Amino acid sequence: MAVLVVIALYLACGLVFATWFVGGGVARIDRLAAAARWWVRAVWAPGVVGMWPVLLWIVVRGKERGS
Amino acid sequence: MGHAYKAIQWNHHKRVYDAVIASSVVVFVGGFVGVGKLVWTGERAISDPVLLLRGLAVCAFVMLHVILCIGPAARLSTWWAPLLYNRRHLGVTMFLVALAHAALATLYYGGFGGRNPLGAVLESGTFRSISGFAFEWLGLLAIIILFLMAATSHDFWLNNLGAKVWKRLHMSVYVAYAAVVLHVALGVMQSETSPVAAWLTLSGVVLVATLHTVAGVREFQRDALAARAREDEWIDAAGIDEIPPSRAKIVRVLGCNPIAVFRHEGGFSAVSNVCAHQGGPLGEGRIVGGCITCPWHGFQYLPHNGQSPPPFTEKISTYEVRVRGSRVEVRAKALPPGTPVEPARVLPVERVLGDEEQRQGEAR
Ligand code: FES
Repeated sequence: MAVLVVIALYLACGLVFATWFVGGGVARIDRLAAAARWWVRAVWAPGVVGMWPVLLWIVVRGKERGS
Repeated sequence: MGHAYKAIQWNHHKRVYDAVIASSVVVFVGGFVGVGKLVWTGERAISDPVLLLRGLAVCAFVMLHVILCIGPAARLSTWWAPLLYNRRHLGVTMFLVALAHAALATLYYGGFGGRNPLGAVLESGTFRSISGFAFEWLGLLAIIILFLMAATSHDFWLNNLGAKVWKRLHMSVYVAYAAVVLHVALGVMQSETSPVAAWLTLSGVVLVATLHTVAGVREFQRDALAARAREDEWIDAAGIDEIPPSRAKIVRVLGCNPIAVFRHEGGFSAVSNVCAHQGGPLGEGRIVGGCITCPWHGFQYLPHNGQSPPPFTEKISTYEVRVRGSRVEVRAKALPPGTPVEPARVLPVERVLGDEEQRQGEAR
């Protein structure tokens, strides 16, 4: 089923992005977040998987908040 | 430095709130299954997995109604405000209950993994007729939206998406609600012979629509009564006895953010009513330990300058205040966030009279 394949691909990309982002990439957009403990970042992980294009856009645009 | 991120902003009140939500879910779903076993017997008996997935569905549907009703209800009566302040936890719990329903339904109707169960469930309907409508797609749409909302409920998202985008994203709860109502109407009710489920669903929709309409009309009427003032004008805020110690009166000015006028240590200070965190209504909070404390998540601000006490750096707008006779007045123009303003004090009567005479003298 094509739609499910697209959703699976989207989530797979999100998983790769989330690994990088939660692992440290978050510091590129939010310095306060970089200081957060790992379990706090783990709370963001599902959202990163779902919202990765938006976050990627914020990272590319290079605008930092929360500092 | 802003407030450091925490996994969950718990305090005693929120722990109690969460414990009540969790136990209510268990009691509701358990009760549904128990009562279902007693009511549906013989030929009408329902298997345990189906009873459980229906119990989860009804529970999530009821919670979604509560979530949608809290906002307008709190605007109509402050009695509902404590529920509003913790709505995020309720929303995340509702998503988890809905997810449990979706997972169980997918596994059960998908034959518990004989082949891709999600594919099997989604392929079972059609879009060409109402009777066999593929209502599962509507459920999937709702789950995706509710997931995005639950997953982005943490402050990290609010800070990084910005308040406007975050708010818009979370307004999509209404799209999710429409999808859920259609999911129920086109799905469950096709197999229902009793009209009870249909009536309950319709009542829920009417309740949500009515509360939103009534709250909207009230808001419109309140805006119509809001003070019309030029930026440099003084507005009558309240009588000095109208504001209890450590509390505030909220003043509405047309086209501006509401202003919270606090009484503290015999003086009056005015700040923006909008919390820098998530827009919580500061005027509904109170002064704790010398700081205005937001009722939503406890951010604090000093009354005389609108700044969070060190080491925090959040700031809100302040306003000039003065006391004229027995009335407190505030100037409509917002000062830049964090601007210190001397609190207005109630002057001894002789001084007020003296001032008044002096002004009359100057006018002559
Ligand atoms: S809105 Fe969160 S503390 Fe004010």
